[in-house]
Amino acid sequence: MNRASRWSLAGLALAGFAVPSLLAGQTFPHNTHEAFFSECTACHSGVMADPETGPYPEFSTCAACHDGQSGPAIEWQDPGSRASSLAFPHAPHDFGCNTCHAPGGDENPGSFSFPEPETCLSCHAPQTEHQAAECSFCHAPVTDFRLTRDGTQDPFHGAAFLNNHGPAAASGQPDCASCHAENTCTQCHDGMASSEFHPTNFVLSHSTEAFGRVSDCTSCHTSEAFCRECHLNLGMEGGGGFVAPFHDNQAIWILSHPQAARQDLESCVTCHQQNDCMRCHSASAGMRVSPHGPGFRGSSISDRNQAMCKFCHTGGGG
Amino acid sequence: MSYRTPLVALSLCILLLPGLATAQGINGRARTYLSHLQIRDMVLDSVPEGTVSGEGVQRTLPDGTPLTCGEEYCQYYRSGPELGVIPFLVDLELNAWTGITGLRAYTHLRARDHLGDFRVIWPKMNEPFEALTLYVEYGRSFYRVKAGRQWQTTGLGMYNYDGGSVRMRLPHNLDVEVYGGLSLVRGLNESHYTNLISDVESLFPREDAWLGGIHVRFRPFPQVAGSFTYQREEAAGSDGLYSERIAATTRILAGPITLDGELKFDLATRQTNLAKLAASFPLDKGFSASGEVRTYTPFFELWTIWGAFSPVGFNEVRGRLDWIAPSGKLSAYTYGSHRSYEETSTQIPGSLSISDESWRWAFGSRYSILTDLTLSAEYRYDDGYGASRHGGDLSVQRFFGRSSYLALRGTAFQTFSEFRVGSGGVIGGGLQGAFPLASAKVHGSVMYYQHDQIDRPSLLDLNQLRMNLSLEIPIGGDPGLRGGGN
Repeated sequence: MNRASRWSLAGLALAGFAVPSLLAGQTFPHNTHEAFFSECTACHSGVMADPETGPYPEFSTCAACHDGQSGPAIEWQDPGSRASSLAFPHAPHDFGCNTCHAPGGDENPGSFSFPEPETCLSCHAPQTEHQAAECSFCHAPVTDFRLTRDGTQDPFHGAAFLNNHGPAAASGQPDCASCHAENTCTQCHDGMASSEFHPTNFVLSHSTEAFGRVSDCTSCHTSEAFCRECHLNLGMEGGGGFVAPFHDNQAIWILSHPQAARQDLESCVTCHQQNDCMRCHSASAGMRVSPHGPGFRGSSISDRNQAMCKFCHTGGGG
Repeated sequence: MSYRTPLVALSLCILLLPGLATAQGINGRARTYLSHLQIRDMVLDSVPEGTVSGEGVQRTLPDGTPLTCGEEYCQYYRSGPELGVIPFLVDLELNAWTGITGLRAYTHLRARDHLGDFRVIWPKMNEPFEALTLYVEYGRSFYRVKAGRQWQTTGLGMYNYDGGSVRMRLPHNLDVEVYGGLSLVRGLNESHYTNLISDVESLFPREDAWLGGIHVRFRPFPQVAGSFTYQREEAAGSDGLYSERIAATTRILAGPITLDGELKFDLATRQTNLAKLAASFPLDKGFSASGEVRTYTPFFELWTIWGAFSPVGFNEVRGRLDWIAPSGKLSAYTYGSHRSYEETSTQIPGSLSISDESWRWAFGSRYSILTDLTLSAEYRYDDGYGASRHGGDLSVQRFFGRSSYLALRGTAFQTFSEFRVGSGGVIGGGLQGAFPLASAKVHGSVMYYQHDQIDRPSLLDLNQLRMNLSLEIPIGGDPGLRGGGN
């Protein structure tokens, strides 16, 4: 790694740690004020009013005590509306602050927090009384919900959604971007760093998943530069000859391989290059064994890319 | 095509946005990921053919080692030296509102380094810096324009490219999006003409490709949604295509029943890559069920010759049943599938033919012994084509509030390879946990897997030690959901 690269890495790491601290906001010591204000609305009277009013008190409310005599003088300014994707109206949800802000039952104001998504979903999830037909009813992009691998823990989408979210994502029912940030997709589909998607023992067990196409491997991984590179680096060298030491469980692999290849060519290419097969399956060299099956639509392919045909039929791809 | 210099410059500009955009705010996250993997590779070794008794291609040494013999040598695989690597990734995602209504910038940057032999991890581990996503978006109520490095989600899956997209929200819940730009290889984040492919494929793509398409989403009724996609990838320097495909999807909410349909079609080979129908629905007494039928044929881009080998697909039926107790403390599920491959039209002697169907079945359960203590278990049986496996997982997980947990996990399974001699047994276990650190979250695991060969000498040492540690720091809170700030 050269010096510029290390500076890039260091800079990115520094930014990653520094930016949050720069953005950290002030916090109000609710506990020390609990004795003076028994009701949340004593200060947050605007919560139930017009959303434009905002939830914060006027500074004059604070200055009534913090005048430098009764209490220490302070400087405080209404921070204004938070950058938020949530269009949440408090007024229709008038059933006590602690219902959402202290779902655990701790009514100490110091322990109040912003509601977790599950609190909302307890009423607004599908098949509940107040289900939301669209996430965008409340949310504008972008938040940080993530899909969980364990569907039984996903109160909104339900079991097995992870393996069947394609139609929903493409159709926009529901609209993913209403609740999910883009990293929800890339944390899995960015196949080179999706360390959370597969279990940690996956390298020892992935062959059954790959052969069975339980998930679409190619939606995240490139066969050549991911699967094949790793296989080759670990010693599983594809050759394409009559002698196939890797396939040592087949009496005469050369006779079995046509069926295996037709059934699951995607697995073959995770080790074998095209030239491995062209040693025999080329129209211009070698044994000239045609690889085309019944109903092969050569003209449809050649209309779109003749170079592909030329690999075998003239010995060059152009 | 190299974008490194402009990408770095643009990325640094984006990093400066927080200072410029605090009025409107930013959010995002920084994630540092550290891992350690210890594994051994495989080495092809050989002995002179004359020293091995027996005849034929496949022979066995007295100790059980299977050999594949040619005229001069018999070859076999054994373990190579131990390889260890510690990859180090830093991801930074920022979503910045600029202060101009509707104008937003988003970036996902990555820096990486490693100690040890990076070959055993992912491609690009020696690539110190890259931008996975980097775009500027201007959106109003009826249209959205994006420019830069971005991902496109359609019925064909996710594609990323350097270019632009325009999305129009038309009346009657009709969305039309047109997109195009320099295509990036899926899963690589690189254009086609890249040494990452040419290093492992001698017939690599000689040209980059332009990606273009149109994605239409419609929702005529609240309960019915669908999409149609046409997309092509065209070689940048010639008139050849790398792909030309269409896709259609639909999702229908019929009362409590959710119906999904999906179709992917390759116009070049005129093959249906995927046709799928799925349904999920709740039943009485805490039960819910889902079922699916699909037919699948692999898709290959036209810079390869693989499509000319007439690959066939398979048909599959899947089913799943879930149950959760009224108390919510106990849940259980089972799922299974049957897959049958289409006729390959190859002339294979009967004794040499291989299986053309497979079964999969699993069941599992989760039990909350105490409020914060959960026991979960799963057993899987997979009698597959090419490879099979059966075994299970067991874990005990203790939660400490919402963001903290400690789990003890164990696994045991056997694997069977159809195309290689012998079976393998794996027993593994370790600890996994997470806890908050101020507003950040720390996640880590230590797992060890002991692999033993069955029916053959343990010439192949596939034992693994894996350790992961990640630190994730939210930036600017998570608007709307996580709150934060004041």
